[in-house]
Amino acid sequence: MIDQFVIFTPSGLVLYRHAPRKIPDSVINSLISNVFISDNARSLDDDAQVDTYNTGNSTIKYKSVNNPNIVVATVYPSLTPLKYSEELVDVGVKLFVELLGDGIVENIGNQKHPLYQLEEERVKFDRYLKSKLSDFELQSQNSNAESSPSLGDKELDSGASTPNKKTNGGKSTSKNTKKFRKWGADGMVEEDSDFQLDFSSGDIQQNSNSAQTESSLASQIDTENYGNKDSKTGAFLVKDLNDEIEAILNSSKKKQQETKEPFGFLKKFTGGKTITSEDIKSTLSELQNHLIRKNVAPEVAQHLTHNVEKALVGSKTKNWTSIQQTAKEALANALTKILTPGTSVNLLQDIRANKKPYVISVVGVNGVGKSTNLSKLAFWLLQNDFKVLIVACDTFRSGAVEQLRVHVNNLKRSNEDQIELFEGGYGGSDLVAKIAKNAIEYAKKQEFDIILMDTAGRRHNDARLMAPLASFAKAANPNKIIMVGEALVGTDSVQQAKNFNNAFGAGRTLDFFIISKCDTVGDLIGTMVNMVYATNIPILFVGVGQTYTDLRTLSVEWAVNILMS
Amino acid sequence: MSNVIIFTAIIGLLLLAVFIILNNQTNTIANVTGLTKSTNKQPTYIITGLSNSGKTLLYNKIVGNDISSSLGTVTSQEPNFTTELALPSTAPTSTKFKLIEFPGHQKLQNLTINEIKNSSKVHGLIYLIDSSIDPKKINENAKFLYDILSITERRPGGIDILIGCNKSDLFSARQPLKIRELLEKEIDSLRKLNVSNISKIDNNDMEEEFNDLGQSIEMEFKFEKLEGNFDVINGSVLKNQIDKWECWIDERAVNF
Repeated sequence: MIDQFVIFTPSGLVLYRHAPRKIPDSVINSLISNVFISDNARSLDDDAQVDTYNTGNSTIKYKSVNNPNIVVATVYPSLTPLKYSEELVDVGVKLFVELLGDGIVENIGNQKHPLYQLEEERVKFDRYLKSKLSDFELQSQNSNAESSPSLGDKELDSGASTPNKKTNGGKSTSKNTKKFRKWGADGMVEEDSDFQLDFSSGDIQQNSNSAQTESSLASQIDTENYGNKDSKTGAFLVKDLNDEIEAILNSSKKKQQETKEPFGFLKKFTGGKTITSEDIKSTLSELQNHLIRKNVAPEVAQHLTHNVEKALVGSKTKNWTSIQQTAKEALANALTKILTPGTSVNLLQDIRANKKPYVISVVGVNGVGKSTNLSKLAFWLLQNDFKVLIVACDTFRSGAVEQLRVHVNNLKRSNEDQIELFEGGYGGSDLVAKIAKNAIEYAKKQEFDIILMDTAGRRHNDARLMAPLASFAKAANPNKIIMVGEALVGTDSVQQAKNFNNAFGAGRTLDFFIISKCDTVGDLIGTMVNMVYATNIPILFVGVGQTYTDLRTLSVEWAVNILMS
Repeated sequence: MSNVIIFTAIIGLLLLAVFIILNNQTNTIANVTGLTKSTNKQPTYIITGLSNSGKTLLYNKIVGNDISSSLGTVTSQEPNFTTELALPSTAPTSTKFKLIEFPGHQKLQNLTINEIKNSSKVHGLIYLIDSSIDPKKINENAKFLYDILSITERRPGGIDILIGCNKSDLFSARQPLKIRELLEKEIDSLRKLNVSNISKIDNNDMEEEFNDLGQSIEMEFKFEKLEGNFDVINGSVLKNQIDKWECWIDERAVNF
């Protein structure tokens, strides 16, 4: 049993909803915000016809198409898997596109509501879909012998067991008194005995004729007919309905082979061309190479261009824009979406809102600039009148503590009492946790506002080095864990970000990135995209030079412009 | 002989011109996606706000689609727009207005900002707020509004803004005056924060910083001191109580 079958547009309009059970709107909204907007839940199988998304107690099967631009989704409880859910979505897409697709495209083009003057088709779709749905439910119940059919399906069940009636229907001479039935909005039957249906004449007789073509069936659909259902020959009508549906499903396949228009080639330049995957292939590989040249990892570049392809194939180019232009714009939008943080990033506000001392720790691979960026952060925080304690948790590399002392002494020149270094010498990883704990104790006593913890650089693919991070995170329990990544690194940045993000144990992830050494790469800033793509964690600052003031907030617009140029 | 060639060439060119003109008329899909630098010169209204504040429904009410209200709406990923809005609603003039409704998701807020930057004639901006929102969460609204104001207030005369306190029929709804007060306070603290924040990486080629929204940072931020008009009016899209908002729109259609 499904909870809901829903069709909606990217602009947020629900075009069709069949909701046998009430579920909160937040279920569909979480699908949209996590999958379509944030691109968080990437499906493992890119070629899957129908994608799956899990949220809370519900599972959603969904499929999006481009012309018209709609998403078809089925929601059902995760505990009771539905075998036919994918097929249902697929059938739903085909039926809806076939019946209403052209009308919707035209309405949107004319700036009307998508369903403007399409009520008749919508009602038709409603009938078809519900019939198909009860078919599916019947099938799954038949295959499941133990489960008894539910009340509403009994009638259909008895009908389906005598499918041969179809051939007799037209010839039957003994006319039964057939009751006229109305199907109410709630699916209950309202009988009206005054009205008799005569199946031996009219359209229906033609329908039972086996020689007719599928296409003529489709033209004969009379909405009135589907409002009536006969109790005895229930299967008769259902069967016809199925023929109609089959006809539509088949014709939607045929239609895909489009006829070529004269002067169609001109549309490439003037716009209004329907994009096919062949058209866009070369453009996409061009864009992919462009991204890779900008230091974006091939894996990420491929995902991005794949998204662009998914978004564009089947849609029409705008006026006076070529396919290249359209694809470029779509890619820029995809990049903007990736880089824009999903939650607002305001470190200062967070520091003021939380209790003292506020602990920030910095992690990263060797030599990316952890200590340098830590002191840049300290400089900025000092300017904002915070009392800062810097803790040397790098107990491994010789000279690490001394390096921090130099920074602290530099910063002390302007802020004598506001900054201090907490050190515990050199030693193993147990010492790190001990220093961290002691530093927090000390900061509480001395009323420091902020603790900045420097950690040892470590290779992200060495489990022996990464393991202590979990115990460190437990001991220090930092408010924010910041990973410093260098803009120079390239493809490996995806794995670096992933490994560090997973290193802090269950329930703890990185909070921000600082991308250092951005001044050394010019416009090859693909590393930013890689790291955010891999983890969905926002970039807080970018390092743009050697001095204490060379720290900047990331501007998404700036980054996208550089990446696209 | 050469005359014939020239003749055919001219006919060919004429045909091409006709084809292009026809093609142009059949597809009037305007550009509202982000990053397009094309400027919008049509008189424009913007509806924006956070997700789940009732924007899409309001848009459809104003445009006159009632089909949508029965089916409801879901989170938008793309703007809704029309270029054919006839205003004022009581006695429409020949001027057609553009109405755009933007998605409220955090990742898509840049669409609103870009549109304001690229439109030269914004008659009004309607910012919807869910009045039943927890006052502690008003912060997110203040942040978005602050971003909007930092664009609109740079313009001479600013842009008129209406804060539509939607869902005022709900039991837990707050009074417009209270919401105004909360927003004012939050924006004031955001101003102070952003003045001390680290500057953006691209600001060297932009105009000078505008963190204080044009009001002295020493003084408290006041909506009434803004360049553009600022109104806070309650209503309810679901209960069809949007007359006051429509009046606000009409006023701006006449006097601009």
